[in-house]
Amino acid sequence: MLIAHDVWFGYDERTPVVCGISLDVAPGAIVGILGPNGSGKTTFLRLLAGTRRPQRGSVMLDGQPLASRSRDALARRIAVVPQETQLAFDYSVAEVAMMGRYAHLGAFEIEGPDDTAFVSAALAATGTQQLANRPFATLSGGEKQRVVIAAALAQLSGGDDAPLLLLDEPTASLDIGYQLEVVSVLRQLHADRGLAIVISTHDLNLAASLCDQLLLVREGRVIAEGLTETVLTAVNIRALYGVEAEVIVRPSGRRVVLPLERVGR
Amino acid sequence: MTSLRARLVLTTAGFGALAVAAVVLAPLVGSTRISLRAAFDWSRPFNDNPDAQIFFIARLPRTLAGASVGALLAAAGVVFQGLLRNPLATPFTLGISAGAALGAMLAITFNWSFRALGLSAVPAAAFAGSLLAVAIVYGLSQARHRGLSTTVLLLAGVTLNAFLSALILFVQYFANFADTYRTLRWLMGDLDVSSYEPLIAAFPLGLVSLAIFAWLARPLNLLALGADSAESRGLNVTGAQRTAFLSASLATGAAVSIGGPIGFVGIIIPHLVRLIVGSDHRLVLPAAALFGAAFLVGCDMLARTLMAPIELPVGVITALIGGPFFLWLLVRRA
Amino acid sequence: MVARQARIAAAGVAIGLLVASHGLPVARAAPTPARIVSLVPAATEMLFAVGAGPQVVGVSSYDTYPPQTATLPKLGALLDPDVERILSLRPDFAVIYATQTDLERQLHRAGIETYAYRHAGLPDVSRTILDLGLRTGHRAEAESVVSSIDGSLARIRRAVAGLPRPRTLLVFGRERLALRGIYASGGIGFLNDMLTSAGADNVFADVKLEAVQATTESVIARQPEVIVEVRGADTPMPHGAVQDEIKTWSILGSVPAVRNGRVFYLIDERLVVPGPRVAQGVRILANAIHPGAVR
Repeated sequence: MLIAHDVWFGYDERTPVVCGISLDVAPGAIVGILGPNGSGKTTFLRLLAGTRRPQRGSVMLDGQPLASRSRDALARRIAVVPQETQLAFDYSVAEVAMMGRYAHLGAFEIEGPDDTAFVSAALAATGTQQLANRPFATLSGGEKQRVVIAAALAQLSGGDDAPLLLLDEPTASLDIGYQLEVVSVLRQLHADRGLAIVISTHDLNLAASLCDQLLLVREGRVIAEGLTETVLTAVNIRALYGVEAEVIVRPSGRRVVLPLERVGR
Repeated sequence: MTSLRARLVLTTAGFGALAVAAVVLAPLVGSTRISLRAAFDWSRPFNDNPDAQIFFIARLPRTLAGASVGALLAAAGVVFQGLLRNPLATPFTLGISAGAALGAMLAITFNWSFRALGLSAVPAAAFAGSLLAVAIVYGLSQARHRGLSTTVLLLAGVTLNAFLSALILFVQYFANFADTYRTLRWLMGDLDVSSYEPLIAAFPLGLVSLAIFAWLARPLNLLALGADSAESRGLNVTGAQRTAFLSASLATGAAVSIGGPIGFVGIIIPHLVRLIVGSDHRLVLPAAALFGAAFLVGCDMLARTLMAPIELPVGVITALIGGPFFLWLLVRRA
Repeated sequence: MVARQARIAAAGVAIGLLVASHGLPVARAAPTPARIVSLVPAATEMLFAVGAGPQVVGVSSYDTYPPQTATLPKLGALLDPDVERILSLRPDFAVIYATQTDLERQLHRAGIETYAYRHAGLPDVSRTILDLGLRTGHRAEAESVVSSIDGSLARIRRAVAGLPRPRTLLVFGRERLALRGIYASGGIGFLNDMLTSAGADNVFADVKLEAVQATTESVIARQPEVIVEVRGADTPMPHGAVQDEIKTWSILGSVPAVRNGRVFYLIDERLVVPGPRVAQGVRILANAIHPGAVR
């Protein structure tokens, strides 16, 4: 559905940040992009979302380049949840979620009952409906992330094609309780709505517990890719982070990574 | 959660009533007493009727000037704050007032005498100066980036402010004391337009800007999320930022051509309005425009009557009210 | 009214003479200055009028009269005195504005006598002339200059005495081609004194300020019978431009001065400089307000 092929990008000409990454996201897939800080994950997600254009290579959605679609048509298919959302002004939770409907409305159109219903459903799906009238700025980190996910859901609601949610280290600034909260919301959404999810993270256990497919990226290049159980090995983790780790396979088949010491790549 | 449509009607009606009340009330008071019966006595020739002339030449254009300038500056303030994602931005943050001041100073010092588009030399030069400042800041903000960098915009604006202020001091070297004094007074703002011409001249520009602001309301909401998030929600961020910058700059230039750089309207009104209606720009923009109109007309009423028969510059009144408010705002945010 | 004006003028002269005859301690102690600088155009004119011209070695950047000032070094003015240049001329006496206290201190430290000029009413012109005459060793000439000014003023006052005194708006600053930023003479100061001496009553007589920002409303409400605009000679304007400026007032048809065509736009340095030519300024005003009354 969303296919990146040999994508290159750099913020200035001499230092490419993304060096020839390819990725194929199937409808309903959950793909994790793993890599240390500064490996180019965020930039690659921007290329997938179409907010940056690759300097070489291509990103295609349903066989057409992203650039051939208008911004709002693209927004009806692909929504993005950033690592953190800082508002310049005090909006309520409901207003933030309603901003997800931007791409569905005409220039001077006011939201109708459909939009309100989509937003209510999105807030309910993320367990934030009781926060609707709270100022966004007063929420905890986990609550904020759930509300932003709700906005992304509202953005993807009412479209006809298979929607895609891109998340950029959504749990990086959260403590462990909120991390699990966000993960469970994502898992639920995937189960209920068949969302395709691409999530970038440097959290190995989050990736292990959520994703069925992984892309390991270091310094803008892919060092390994494939199904989670085949890619998430001690050898790959060492190559990725320079860390000696033990990968424990629990009876459920889920993998848990236990980092032991830094050894260098 | 009441629907936006209902809140919009309520907001417009409430602040609209305030603006209408101010505009109706203001021509009735002034530094002198007039007879309304005489002013509306159509049987007397206009040129023979001081009451009618005070009402229709002195007070009415002045009230309308206050309303237009107040509405434009307050709404432009909202747009600049949204564009720069900084609640402390004002219509004058990006150097527009300094450009206008330089134009006015040149016209006063070198005693320029011309009329252009219904404007006399000082307002015309002020408007030209503001356009020059806008062009420079815009050019700089475009120079290095693919889109429009708000950081560069802010830095360029602040630097241009300082540079133009230095130029003003340089021009002042050629000015005599009286010219310098007149420039200083111009900087404090003056709504005594004494004819409808400056209003008519600024009208098309003001109207176009306000219409563009109406379209900008939703994009400005998205910009509050940050440029990347706004883009991923479906907004053409660079286009919206360009539109916001240019329309708010034109609105500010039009306002300055009418009344000079009247301070504080563009910051205290947006903040007061946000305290009342929240942050949704679809409510904040119309509310700020209407409340700004009412506020400036009210300040001008005070300026005309507090020390009658002497008048205070209206900018002194807005600063006396706005200064403490601004400080309160800073302390509150900290 | 005229008598009162005369009394004020006489009182001014009397005070001046009193000071002159008894002398101030400083004045008595100080020797006659040989090198004078003046930062005040009006005072420069006075120095030349009393015969101290040859002693003047530097003037303000706005000095244009008398023509001899053109070749003298320009030393800045009220806001931007060029202290280094002043000191480099090695003056022994400096006429500065009373508000230039920093400059005064610097000059005193350099051992330079100063005279603090105060801008005030018409009587102060005579007082200042006498002061300067005394300080520069030209007392007799100063007295004769003052008595000639007083004589001219008295002649003008006699000529307009008994004539109706029109309520007059005296404008000394305004935006070009618009009725905006109007600055008019209030009820005190040199311009107001000139106006009353010329046989008119100031419409802003009740406002005890030298300068009033006159609004459109106040101009209509006060119904001036005559409007006189005065500008210095640094504003050269062709005849057509002057007519255009006068026409600018025409929207205020309910103002008697406008209706009756009694709006004047006078460009003459003598109208705006409170110097020894002040009586000529009053004569110009009187000729506009009372045509034919003053010869």
